[in-house]
Amino acid sequence: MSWRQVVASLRGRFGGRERRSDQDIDDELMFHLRESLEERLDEGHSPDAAWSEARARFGSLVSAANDCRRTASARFAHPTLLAALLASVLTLVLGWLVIEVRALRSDRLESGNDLSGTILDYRGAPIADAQVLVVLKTWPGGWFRQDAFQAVSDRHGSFRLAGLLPQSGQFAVQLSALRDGYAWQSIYQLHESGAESRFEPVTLRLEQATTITLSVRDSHGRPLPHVRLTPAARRSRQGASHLVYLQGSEPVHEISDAWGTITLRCFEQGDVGDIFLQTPRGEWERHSIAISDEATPVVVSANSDSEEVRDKPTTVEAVDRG
Amino acid sequence: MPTPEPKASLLQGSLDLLILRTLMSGSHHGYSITKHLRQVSEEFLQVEEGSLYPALHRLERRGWVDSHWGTSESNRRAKYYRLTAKGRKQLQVETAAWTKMSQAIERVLNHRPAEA
Repeated sequence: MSWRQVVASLRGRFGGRERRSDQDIDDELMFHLRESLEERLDEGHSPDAAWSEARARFGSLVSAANDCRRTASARFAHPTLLAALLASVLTLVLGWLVIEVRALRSDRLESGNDLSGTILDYRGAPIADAQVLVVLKTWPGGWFRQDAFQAVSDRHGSFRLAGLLPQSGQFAVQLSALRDGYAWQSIYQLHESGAESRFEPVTLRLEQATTITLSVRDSHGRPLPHVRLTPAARRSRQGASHLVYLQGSEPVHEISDAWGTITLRCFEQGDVGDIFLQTPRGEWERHSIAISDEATPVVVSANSDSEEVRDKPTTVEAVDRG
Repeated sequence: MPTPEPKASLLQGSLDLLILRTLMSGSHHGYSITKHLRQVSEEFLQVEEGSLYPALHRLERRGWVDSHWGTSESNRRAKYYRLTAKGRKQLQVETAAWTKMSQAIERVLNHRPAEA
């Protein structure tokens, strides 16, 4: 490979970085608008009013995106070969540092605080064998990392993840509890840096779930067997929001049968729910489903939540409810 | 007639200061910074939300903050910003400058001309 090809290749890499930067800016601004929109909806605005309010608060989207791009392009302008080589060396050094920091983090986890709690049903009786999915976000040495952990409740409904929580520094815990037949719940707690690292035992009371059967189909209406699915979010009629992160969700994955059907007993009647669905190509898509007692099936097309959806090969149809 | 330039630069400087101060408590994504400013100022500070991002990118370019992608509390991909060591120093500088300026303004406002 000639030096010109090397330079061209490096320029290609930097060009790719610029394109990624453009996409990142779009993603960042869209994330803001979505969060703002949801906050306005939570305040009781109609969808149209919520969107108008979110846009008004944001100001000019085009102007913000252009300003960000100008800053980014100034950062990436005219990369030299030397700069590219330096970046490669730095990447290697940083990679080594990340490994070191992770090793340090593993050591610290052994001497951390426990995360524990109890899962009860709506009558206050303990729920055994509930899946407790935990995602721990930490910023060791300024680096962000996100790890998934799992526990199962015992016959007393209790669970414990020993030594999981850092004794100092900023961290956040996302905890979801799921058990077949019960509407799952989650909590999210952020511990600011400098605050006392104390995490009170968690108690979650799960309501009885309704049964829904989903029929997973491709764009031609043909059933899709062996498709993996996991609950992603549910917003109850009372307005409470609960989440399951895709990371670490394997214990609660469901798989469609030979006719493309999956029965779910983890949503409550009246919920607005989201599910993650893995397409035959291995991509995860997010779909919204309304959990109601209407007799007519609810059909959700793949592009109903375009942020996470990269393609739309499938249709999810709620065909039966009990 | 006063030009709008001094006011714009004052606002820009203030926004940088407010962002840096917010990031003192740890990593935040842009929307969480906006909410924090609104809540802590008891809805008094109404920053046009779109102006936050060019400011964040500018601060990142100066090395005062760095960023990473993570999952937000709403389970979405979000860009988090964090104060760097250089940013902490800059925060001290900006805080001191702001304190001096507000004290100077207060002195002017409270000034009583000597009676003749």
